[in-house]
Amino acid sequence: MVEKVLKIERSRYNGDAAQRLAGNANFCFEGIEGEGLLLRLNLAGICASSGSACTSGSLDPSHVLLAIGLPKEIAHGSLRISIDENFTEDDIDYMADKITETVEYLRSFSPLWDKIVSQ
Amino acid sequence: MENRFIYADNAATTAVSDEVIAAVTDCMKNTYGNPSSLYSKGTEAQRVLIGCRERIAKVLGALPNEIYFTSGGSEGDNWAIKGTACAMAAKGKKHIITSAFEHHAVLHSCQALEKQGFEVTYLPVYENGIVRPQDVANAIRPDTALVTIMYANNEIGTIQPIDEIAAICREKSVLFHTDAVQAIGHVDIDVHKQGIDMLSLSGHKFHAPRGIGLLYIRRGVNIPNLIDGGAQERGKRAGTENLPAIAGLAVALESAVKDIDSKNKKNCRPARQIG
Repeated sequence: MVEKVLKIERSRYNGDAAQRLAGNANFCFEGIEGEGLLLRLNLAGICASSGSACTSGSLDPSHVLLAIGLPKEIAHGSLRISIDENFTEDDIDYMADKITETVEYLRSFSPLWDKIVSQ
Repeated sequence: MENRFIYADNAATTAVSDEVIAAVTDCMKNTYGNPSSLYSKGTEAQRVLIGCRERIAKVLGALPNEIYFTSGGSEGDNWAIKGTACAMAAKGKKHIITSAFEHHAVLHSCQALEKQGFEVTYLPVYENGIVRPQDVANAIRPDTALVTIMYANNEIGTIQPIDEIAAICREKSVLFHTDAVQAIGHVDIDVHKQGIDMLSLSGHKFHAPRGIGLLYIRRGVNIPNLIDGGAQERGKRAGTENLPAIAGLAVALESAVKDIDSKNKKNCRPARQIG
């Protein structure tokens, strides 16, 4: 799934690739807001998060992503997926497709994205 | 939109498992006595409580009397940090070491202590999201009261070098607490072997109900009572025990640590595909 999602232009995978919890994946997509992404994913039946649930009421970028050195504007476009052992390959493929589709959709009318690609 | 439902936010909370629901329901229906009561309905509840504590301690590599049931991770973190600060301040130790990307239960506890005159060092976590043990060693001072570093980060999932950090703290005689809320069920934890002095867990992250968790406090570590009142939790956290939730916690914890390797192998697929 990570490989598939990282095919999205200007995306990144946060945190060490080996020393991490299995089942956790945290991404950033430039030019979009994590919140918009979550709401669209929710419509597709996917429950995910942009950071921790404890801070989801806040519009501040994640202190965790800032701590690993990400600039604010990139930290804003974050997505956390945390799956358990009951996930099927099919679930994972579905999620990866929906994430890709949604990021592209949100970028299609994002002035910020236009600015990033024109640079 | 498609009619599909995928729950991919297990770091936020987990669904309570059927076996936990069965254990909780059974306890509510049949073991409703107060564990402190002297008649048989009470002593029966006391036996269940003792049994749960023993099973939980065994999973964590602790002694039963080192397990203190709490309402969850935030309570455990607050108690461990503020309690240790209070106990150590009396010895003139008013310095705490933590990391920049802890859960807010830890960060805000530390900030509250700063307002009371404590000094806090927030260690960097670098681009990979991992604390460097050498930074911990360098930050320890003669007046350091506590090192508190999370076991695994709740947002980016990075696992911290807990064994090495614990060893450094032990060598320098500084207490070490870890918030292991996200890590349990994903990594093998044995508090005695690893030299961990305090460890917080939250049930709802591993298929137990919300409102139940625990703080492991190593024997010999003395921190003030969290709630004064009755003799529950050896007098340190008074209040009638939430026995149904504790029964659920025991079942959930035993299941969470079962087959960690095979679970990780299965779930690792996404991460492994990066390389």
